[in-house]
Amino acid sequence: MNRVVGAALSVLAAGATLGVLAVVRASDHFDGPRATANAQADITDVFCFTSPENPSNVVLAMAVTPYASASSSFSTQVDYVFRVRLVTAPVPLTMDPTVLDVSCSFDRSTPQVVRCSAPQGLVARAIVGDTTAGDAGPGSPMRVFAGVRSDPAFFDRQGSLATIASNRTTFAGQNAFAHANVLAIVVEIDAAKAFLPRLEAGAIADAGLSDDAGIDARRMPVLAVAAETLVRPVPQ
Amino acid sequence: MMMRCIALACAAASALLACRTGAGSEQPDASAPTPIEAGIDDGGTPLGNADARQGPLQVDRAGHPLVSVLLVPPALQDQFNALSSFAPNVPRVLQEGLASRLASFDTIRLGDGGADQVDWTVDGGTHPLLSVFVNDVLLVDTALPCTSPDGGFVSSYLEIDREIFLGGSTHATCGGRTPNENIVDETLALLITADRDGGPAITQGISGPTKWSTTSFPYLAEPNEGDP
Repeated sequence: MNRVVGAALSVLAAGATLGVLAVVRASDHFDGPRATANAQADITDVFCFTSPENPSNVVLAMAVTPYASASSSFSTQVDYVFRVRLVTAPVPLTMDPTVLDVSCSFDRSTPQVVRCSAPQGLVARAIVGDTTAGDAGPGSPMRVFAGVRSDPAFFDRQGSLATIASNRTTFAGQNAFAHANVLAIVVEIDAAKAFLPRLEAGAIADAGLSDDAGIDARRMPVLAVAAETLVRPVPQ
Repeated sequence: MMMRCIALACAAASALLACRTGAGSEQPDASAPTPIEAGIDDGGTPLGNADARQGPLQVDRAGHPLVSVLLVPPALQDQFNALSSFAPNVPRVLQEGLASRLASFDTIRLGDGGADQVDWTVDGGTHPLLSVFVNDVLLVDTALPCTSPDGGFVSSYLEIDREIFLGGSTHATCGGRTPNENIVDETLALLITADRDGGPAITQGISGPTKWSTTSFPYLAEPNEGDP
């Protein structure tokens, strides 16, 4: 029995050691055992910027599924969520607790259809792969794209791995994600319609803050944004 | 006991294989149920959806790029990823893990040279960058553009963070994160040299992605053909 226990521990130790080496990947690729084991929910990158096509809009984008193939699909059991809060004061960083999330989910049809919902009842749908967002232009309150894209990450994975392991910068300029693809969700949304009504509704006053805190939040409609993937419970 | 150990060994080996498969050497079987659809992860661990009363299971989260892969020790990554992006209190073990990595990067050895100088003063026991990265969210000013007059994306990453947390100048772009920006080099320079004048150039040696994102919806570049 001791030999069996020893063998089991050896396998675990080897797995743990190699696991440490394997999880240091890129922007957010393969960041931890659970995300690595569930590629459909493994967030690789998040972007957030004002729209180049319409300055009233903000663009929220997340990529998942490292090394996606043409047959890769979004999970029907995962909620792909952009967590959004309104910054009410910069110093110290203070956010209004009101939830302003944008949540996207996918059905089982072929091709899949993505549906995203946002504050103020905004909803957008699109067929996966449709780069026109169902002909929703930049003037739409909300539009969404979902589908395969070139991985926007460029990162020397091996160099970073070696750098951390040796505590010495050891980069060789090898992009681990050259010519790779990901699954991307891109939501463009009218910021004033979706998020800023909360500002008008008195988020700053509700937070008990004054403009003396630093930058005037009313002239700085700043959002805090992150992405999360959540597996929905299976009904019993 | 023996069976339990064997099961643990198999789970570890299975998880290891999952990591290696994720490196792109093999393509998954498209006809097979995904781990999520099967309700388990590749290590055989229930994903937490067996009991609907427990609610959704958060698998991953991301805000600032590189935080979970460079600054969170591997043993804490699942815990970090399971934490709400707006959690009011980040567990001490995670804060200590990040702080330790931040300290290591500050004085890392540079190539064949010696250790870089100390650039970050730990004030009252807290590394100045801890506040930037422990709240792992992107800050975006919806009133400012992130494109230049010639129409391309500008570099905007961490601009608002620098203003708020590091006493930087007033932000002039939308902040957040635009595609195409070399956030790896920028992050390494910040962590290692604090962007000091005359400091060594820190670069991973990659100038850009395989395909550049555009300023037209859906912004991210069209997919590559074939396997990488």
